[in-house]
This record gives sequence, structure tokens and C-alpha cells, in this order.
Amino acid sequence: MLNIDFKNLIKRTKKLKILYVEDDKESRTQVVKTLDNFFEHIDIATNGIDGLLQYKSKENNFYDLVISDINMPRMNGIDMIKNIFKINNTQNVLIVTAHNNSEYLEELINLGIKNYIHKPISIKSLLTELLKIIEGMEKKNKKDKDFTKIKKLNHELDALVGSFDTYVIASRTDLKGKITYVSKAYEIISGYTEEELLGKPHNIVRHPDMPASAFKNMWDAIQAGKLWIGEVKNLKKDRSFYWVEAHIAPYYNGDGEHIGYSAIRLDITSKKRAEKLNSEIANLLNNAGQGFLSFGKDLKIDESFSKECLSIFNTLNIFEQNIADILFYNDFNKKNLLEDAISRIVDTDEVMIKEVFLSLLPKENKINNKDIQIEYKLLPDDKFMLVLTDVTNTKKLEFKIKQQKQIQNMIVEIASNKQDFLEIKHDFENFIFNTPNDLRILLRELHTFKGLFAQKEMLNIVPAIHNMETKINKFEEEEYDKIHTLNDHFQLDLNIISSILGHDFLETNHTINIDKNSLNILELKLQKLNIGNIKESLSDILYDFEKFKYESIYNMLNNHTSSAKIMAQKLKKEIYPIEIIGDKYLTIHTKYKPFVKSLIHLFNNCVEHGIEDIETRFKNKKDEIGTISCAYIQINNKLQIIISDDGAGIDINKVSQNAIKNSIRVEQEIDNMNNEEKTNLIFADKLTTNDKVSISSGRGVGMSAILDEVNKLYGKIKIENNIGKGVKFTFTIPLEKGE
Amino acid sequence: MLNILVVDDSLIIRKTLTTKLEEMGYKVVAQAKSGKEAVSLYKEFMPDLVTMDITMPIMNGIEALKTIKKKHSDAKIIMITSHGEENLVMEAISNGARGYILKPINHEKITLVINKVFPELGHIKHL
Repeated sequence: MLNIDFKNLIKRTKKLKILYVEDDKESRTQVVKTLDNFFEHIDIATNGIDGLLQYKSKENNFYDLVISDINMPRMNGIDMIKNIFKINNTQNVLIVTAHNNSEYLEELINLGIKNYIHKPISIKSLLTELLKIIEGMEKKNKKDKDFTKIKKLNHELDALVGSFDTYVIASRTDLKGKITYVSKAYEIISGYTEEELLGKPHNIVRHPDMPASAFKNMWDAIQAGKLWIGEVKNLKKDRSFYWVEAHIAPYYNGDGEHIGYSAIRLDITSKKRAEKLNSEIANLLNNAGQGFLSFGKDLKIDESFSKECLSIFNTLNIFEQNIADILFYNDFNKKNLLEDAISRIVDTDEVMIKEVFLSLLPKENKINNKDIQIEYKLLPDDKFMLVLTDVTNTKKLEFKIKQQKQIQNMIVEIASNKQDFLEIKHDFENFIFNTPNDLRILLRELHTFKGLFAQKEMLNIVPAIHNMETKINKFEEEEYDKIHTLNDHFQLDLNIISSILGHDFLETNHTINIDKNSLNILELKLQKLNIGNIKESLSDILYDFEKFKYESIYNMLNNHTSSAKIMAQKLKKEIYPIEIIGDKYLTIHTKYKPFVKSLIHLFNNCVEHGIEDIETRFKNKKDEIGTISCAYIQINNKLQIIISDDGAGIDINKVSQNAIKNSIRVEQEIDNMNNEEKTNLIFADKLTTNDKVSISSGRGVGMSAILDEVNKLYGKIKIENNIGKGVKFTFTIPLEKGE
Repeated sequence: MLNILVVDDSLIIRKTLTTKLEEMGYKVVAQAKSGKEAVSLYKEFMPDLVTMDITMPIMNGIEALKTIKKKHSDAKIIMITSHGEENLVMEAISNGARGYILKPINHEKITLVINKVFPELGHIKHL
């Protein structure tokens, strides 16, 4: 029983095109009737020639199946099939034979035709053969499709091999390292042709820069059957170079035999060039002696920074550290300022405003005892760059130059008034080794010396005395025993002086200058010495000698004016040059000298407390430049010295408050005082209207030193205080008879 | 030719700054002694530029800046400042000040900041 699914078969045959060749009309009609059930398109031919012509009239592969009789007039079926096979040797053919005719059968088999049926045609045999043919056709179709796929794959593979050849620098060598294959890319990069390379040892491209050890390493690996990967510098035919990352492995043939080595390489020449450039830049930055670093808006330092940064911050790494924390670790305000500025810069889009913020940042800081100068630069994308420069040495040099200038000033002051300096020196040395027991007197004298030395702009002794005064004022009584240590500081200044002016300068004995004229008169008097009247003559000569002890008061006072000038410069106040008004030839006995010297405190006071700063004077509609005047006169047996300024006058309330504060007077005492008495409080010890104690004034002992000297000479002081307009001091000193 | 309003509580600074600005060819149209005065004088004169002190009585420079900027957003104001006021200057800049001059004031500093605020005037050489 034939088990055929008709529906399925018809579905598969419906679209097939058939050429049916049969000369017998009866057979034709019968067969066509059956075929009509299966095929939609059936062409009919009546003999071999007719069939062949119809076949030829259609394009190749038009008919899916040719069904043909054998015995036909004009051309039989076998010959027709032979001709058809010449056109298409894969044509499906089904032969219908009348008899069991073995003479044709052999020919059919030779032609490769396996499908035939006998007449009269039974439906069963026809269907059986049709099914065979259709299955065969379907199989063939599938094969054709697969073949197309394979062809496409082959094509892609060819392209791949082609691009491998073009782009991959590949080579193979035999076991001895002789080249057996190179890719096109290899030829291009090395500059050699395939013919030049094949059979040559691979070291033809070896660059002299490559150390032998690198290749030993490679041979060890690949001979042990391992993959070796490394960066290699190679030599081109034109002697230039290229860098590759080489992957070299042992190479085996199909039988697993080790026959050589195979290598592929990546061209890393540009990467190497970039690396070299980077390392050159890094080298430059690392050796610039400056710290370069960058950070983002989170203040975290980026990974790249110059080596100098590490020495500036004295650490091993600064990557990811907060820049504000390490740059301003010792200054909270600067740290805040930086953090504030960065967040404000990030908030604005205006570059100009960003720059303004940067310009407000601290330009210097002391980091680990080094003076570091800081420059800020804006980078794209809210990044910031810092340039840090160690300026410690520059600063030291600046300090040295400043010191040198100070030494110069000191030398000029001392050399231009040698006598004066030698006297002070003598007095000071005397003071140090015969320190007064009374602390008050000691402080007063010490203060006067400080004023005198400051006037000479002395480098070491002035700050030394200042420090000692501060300590004694804090009741550190033990300092009292250390007064002699001041001599060490004094000696430092003396060393500087003698190194510049010579040793003789300081070694001169205590001398006074005698003018030639006086000496001549004295000589004359001695020559005329009359023995009979010796007593009278001697007293005359002694009187002359006594006169040598007299000195010009003008010179004494004039020394103070330079002190006042220096003080004004320090306090940034402006004063007109101080003119000393009085008889330039007036001399006074040296015993009045301590008094005149003590007046230095008054000059200083006038500048510090009297004269206002420029702005205040301007506001008060006064001349911006202050005036200090000094005049002296001898009337009868009295010497009068008047010192005045056009400053603010003495603030009586402030003086009174200070007196209470320093426990000089109690409140009730002050309440009972009149203005004059209150004003006189400025002469009390430990009193000053200046709240700050400066190095050259403001101890509150200066004025009391003057009062002390005036009292010793039984003199008087008159103060005329004019608030807002100035103050005038008049000193009246009685001179001994005959002076 | 710029019309300038000078604001400072210190007479000497007002005088110095005015003299310097006039020497350089600018016109000082008014001077204010306080922030409060600056606000009303700004309205009256509508100057091209204001130089504003920071620490002043009655109304400080930053408050005055904010008040002026609120009504006249295009007002061009620069701050006059001294060392140690950097944080205040930053506050002022964030509120719309266009620049600052660090005391002591001199021609170079004035030129620098005016060139930045008015780039359209071209490069002005100081005298």
C-alpha cells in the first residue's frame, strides 16, 4: 500500500515547471490528465526536435523536470536528453519507456538517468518516481544554498587574510631564526621587500639600542615553549627606527612538530614617542627647582606634580591630598580664603572675575621654615595650577641687605660725631660695671642709654636693652643681675664699628677738643707767669682750664634732632627739620650735660605723642607736616630751654586714667587735682599715654628721667598745654655764679 | 571720559583718589562719605564707575554695593581695599563688584583696573 500524503506532495510540486515530450496522442492525453493534478505549468512537445526547441527557447534552468518518451520520430528521447544535458547537465529527467527495453537502459544509466517508468503508466509508479525526483531536487537546492554560504564565508576569510596581511606585522622564522614568512605590513614598516627578508636571520631589523639581555630573555621564553611579549625597538632599512610590542610564540606544523617561531607585532612608535615627550616634560618640570601641581574644585591634588613639591611639603606623596590643608596648615585665615575663593571661582562663568578672585589669594606662606612664593593659574574645566617657589634665600639676602644698610647708617652716625659716641660708650661701660642699686634709677638710665644708642642707629644693643626693659618691667627681678650681659650685645656693635672704622677709632682716650686760640692764650699766660703774684696768676690759669670743660649747648641739643627725625620715619609721621634757635657760641659746664642729654626723651615724646598722623592732621585742617621747635637763651644766671610742638596737646583724661591704672595715684587724689597738677602727672614714673610700648619710646620712664635731672639742678619746668594745638615745655635752670 | 563717583569715609583718601583720577583725565562727579550717601548720589549722578571703600560707618561698602546693584544691575563698581580685607573683597566681587584696588593707590593700579572694567575703551596708558 502506497502511503503518500497527497496534499503535502501537491504543495511541493505545484510550482514546478514541466516539459512533457510524447508522440503518442493517447498516451499523452492520459498522462497529462494525471500530471495536471500535480503541476500548474506543463509544456507539451510531440517529438525530440520539438522538445529540444522548446527547451532551448526558455532560459537555462527554466524546467524543473523533463518527462520524455524514448521512441519518437525525427529525434528520439535519448538524443534529445543528450542535447539538453549539453545545455544543463544537472537537468532532472524522467523517462517513460514502452517496453522493458534493455538496449536503451544501458544508455540511460550511462547518461546518469536513474528515474524511469514503464508504459502503461500507473499512478503508483509515476508518484513513486515523482517523489524521488522532488526529494532529490529539494536536497540539491539545499546543497546549492549551503554552497553559496560557504562561498561567502570564503570570501570574508580572504578579506580577513588580506587585511591581516596588510595591517598585522607578522612573521615566521625557522628554528634557527631565519625568516620564512613576512606579512605585507612587515614589509611596509621595515622598509624591506619580501625577497630581501626571506631566508635572512631575523636580527636584520635589530636596533643597536636594544640590549642583548632583552633577546636572551625572549629566547629563554620561546625555547621553553612559552609566549613572550615585549617592547622592541627595531631598525628600518633606511636606518631609522620603529617600536613594536611583539608577541612571539613557538610555531608547529599540522603534525604538531615544532618547526619555528611565529610573531605578530603592534606598532607602538607613536605611543613611545608620546611617552618620551611626557618624560622629557616631566624631566623639565622636575628639574625647574619649582613646585608645579594642579588640583580640582574639590581641592584634591592631581596625580602629576613636580618632584620639588615633595621637598617643599616635606612628604612622600601629595596625590589626593587637600591643597588648602597642606599649603596653609599653619594659617587658618589663608586656608579659609583659598577654600572660599575656589568655590566662588567655580560659581562664576566670567574668566575675568575668576582671575580677580585668584589675585586676592595669599602670595606667600612659610612652609616647614621655608618662605614659599605661590602663583595661581587657571586651567580649563575648573582646574587650578600652582607654581611654588622657594624664596628663602632671596629673603635672607634681602634681610642681609637691609642689615647692611642699617650698619651703614650706624657708621655714618657714629663717625660723624665720634666724640659724642666715645663719651656715651664710656658712660655706658661705667654704668654696666657699676650698676645703680635703685631699680628706678637703673631703669631711667638704661632708658636714656637706649635713646642715645637708637639715635646712633645701633644694631644689637638697642633691641637688647629693649628686651631687658620689658623683662624688668614684668618684675622679673633676676634680670637685674644680668645687666652685664648687655655688654656682650654692645660688644657686637663695637666689633662692627672697629671692623669698618679701624681699631684705633674706639681706643682713643676720653678727650676734649681745645681750639688753637684758647691754647695760645694759655701758653701766653704761662710765659708771663709772675712769681710775685703767683696765686693770682694761677687762679687765672685754672679758670681757663675749667673753661675747657665747657661745651656748646647748641651741639648737645642738635644731636637730639636726628633722633626725632628717625622716630618720625619709624612712625610714618611727617615733621619739618627741627631748628635749634639760640647763640651757637653759648657754652655750659659739662655738669649740665646729663640734663641736656635727658631732653632726648622729650623730643621723642613730641614726635610720638604730640604730632598726630598725617590723616588726623589733614582732617583737623592742620598743616600735614608737624613742627617741633627748640630754643634756648641765657638770661642773667638762668638758662632757659623751650621745646614745643604743634601736635594734639596732652590729653589730661588719658594721663589721669593711666595714673590710676598704673597705681601712681588713686582716683580721689586725681579728682582733687587741678589741670596743671594732672598735666604734671606725665613726669610720674611708669606713665605713658601710648598704649603700645615701642622700642624707642613709651616706657613712661623718659619724662621722669628729665624731671630727675631738673631737680638735681634745682630747676623748674613749666608746661603750657593747648588741646588740639600743641604743648610747650619751658625749662629754667639756675646757673652757678660766674657761669 | 568717564564720570566717577568716589566713596570713602576718609577725607584724605577721597582727596588723593580724586586728584589722581583727575590727573589721569577722568571726571569725579561726586564724593560720598558713607555707603548711604553713595546710594543716593549714584541715583542722582548715574556715574560710569564707582570707587567704593569697604569699611565705612552708617552703611559699609558691601551693603552699598548690593543696594546699588539691586536697582542698577549694570552699575560698575570697584572696591578700594587694604591688606587683610581679601575675604571682604571676595564677598564684594561675588556681589557684582568688577575689580579692586589695593592701597596705597597709584596711577598704575588705577589704569590696570579701569582697563579691565572698560576693555572697550582700549588700552589707556597711565601718565
